[in-house]
Amino acid sequence: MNTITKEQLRADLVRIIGTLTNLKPTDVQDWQRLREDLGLDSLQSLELLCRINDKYMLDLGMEDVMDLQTVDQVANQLFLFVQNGGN
Amino acid sequence: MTTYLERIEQQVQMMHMLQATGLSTYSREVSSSCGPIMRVEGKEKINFISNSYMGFSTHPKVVAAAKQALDEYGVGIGGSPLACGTTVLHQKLAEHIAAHYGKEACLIFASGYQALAGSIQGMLGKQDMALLDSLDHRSSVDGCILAGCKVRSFVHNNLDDLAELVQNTAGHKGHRMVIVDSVYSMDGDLAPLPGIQRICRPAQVTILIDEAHSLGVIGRTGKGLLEHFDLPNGADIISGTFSKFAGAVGGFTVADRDVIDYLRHYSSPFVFSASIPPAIVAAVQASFDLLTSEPEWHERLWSNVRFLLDGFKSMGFDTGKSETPVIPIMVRDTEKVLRMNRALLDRGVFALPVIHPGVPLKMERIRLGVMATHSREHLEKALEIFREVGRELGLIPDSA
Repeated sequence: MNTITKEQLRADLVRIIGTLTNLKPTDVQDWQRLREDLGLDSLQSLELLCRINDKYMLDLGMEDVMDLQTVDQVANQLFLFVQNGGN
Repeated sequence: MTTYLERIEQQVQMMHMLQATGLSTYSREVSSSCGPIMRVEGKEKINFISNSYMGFSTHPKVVAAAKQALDEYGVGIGGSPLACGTTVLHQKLAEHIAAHYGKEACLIFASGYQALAGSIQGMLGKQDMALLDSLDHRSSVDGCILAGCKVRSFVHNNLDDLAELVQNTAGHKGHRMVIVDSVYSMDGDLAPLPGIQRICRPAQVTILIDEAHSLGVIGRTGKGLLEHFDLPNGADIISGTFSKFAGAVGGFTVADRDVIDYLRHYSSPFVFSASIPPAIVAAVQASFDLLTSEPEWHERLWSNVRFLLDGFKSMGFDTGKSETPVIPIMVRDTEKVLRMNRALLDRGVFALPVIHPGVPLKMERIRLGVMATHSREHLEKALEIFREVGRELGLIPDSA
């Protein structure tokens, strides 16, 4: 069982999104959609997933997250994955 | 879940709605050559939409070379390079390009897109990893998809992010290749090659550069990014296109002989495409010759770039980070950029509006391609039109 909190995971997610999009973390909001509101293209979305995988030693594929749209949805789903050891 | 037909219908409806507003200026009908003035839907406009930076596609020596080859070879050679599509002209051009970059060998592809995508597809396999700049041309991304390799990307031109990525992927068991554009097609900025070398060489990461917008343009004599940074061995593999500096069509990849010999048989876009026509090859060869025999075109291009950039900046336009003939006029709003381009076209400037997803959100812009063959009169008239339109849209102050 991983001990990371949901808040820590969200902060990591927002930091990585900010790096990839050149946005300040304070400009990334829970309700924003990755593509339509934050402008992540397919290459950036894939890189976001890779960096999350690196950070938490997960092995998620695009098929695991492709139905997720908002920052909040991604954070919630990732938290569940991390809690379950990536399964 | 929508079907593919429903997705097509949704997108087509959106395109038709945009066309109905009159704001879409894409795919206008052209009825002239690609000179500094183009006839667009029957009316003459100053051409800033092309990538024919040197204006060679209408140069008398280039046209004469193409005509001579046309008389000798006809309109096409009727096969792929591995069949009957490697003429003496193709061979001579390949040798010339290899020598231009100080490499052992060269392959000529049917397009710049195919050169880059086909070289990546041929070089990398499932076990390998491509490290892409986030603003790399789509042909690099598609090459990786064809290759089935792993893909990672670093923040555009951010060497700290690249260094972290190289470090974090050090344990990767396959080969790693960093792929960058020499000049980025939408922003006109350069890849920081010295820093890329410093990071990649010790880590045995192969360097591939795309010279599409730099060949003929960048460097003291237009030899490209390696000449600009005085790094003759700055890249392992170099791809490029004939559609920019020569204003024609076709592409190339240069590298060590073994790599080229391998790609000749394993790059699908090379193997399964017909060769570019000998008339085009002759025209491209003549364009390469002009780089050395008429260096004044290179000087004129840069004089025009400086004049235009100074003019835009003095009026208060935001031209981003451009330091090349690719000049973005940042508008940062989709509707406004489309309205601006419509106004420019109506008043005589033919330019390209670029909106999301072509560029990131809030980075929408008008993209200009400066030509060596633009006269000072063309540039002054264009600046005056930009001044009028920029004021009307509130992009620059009324006092500009």
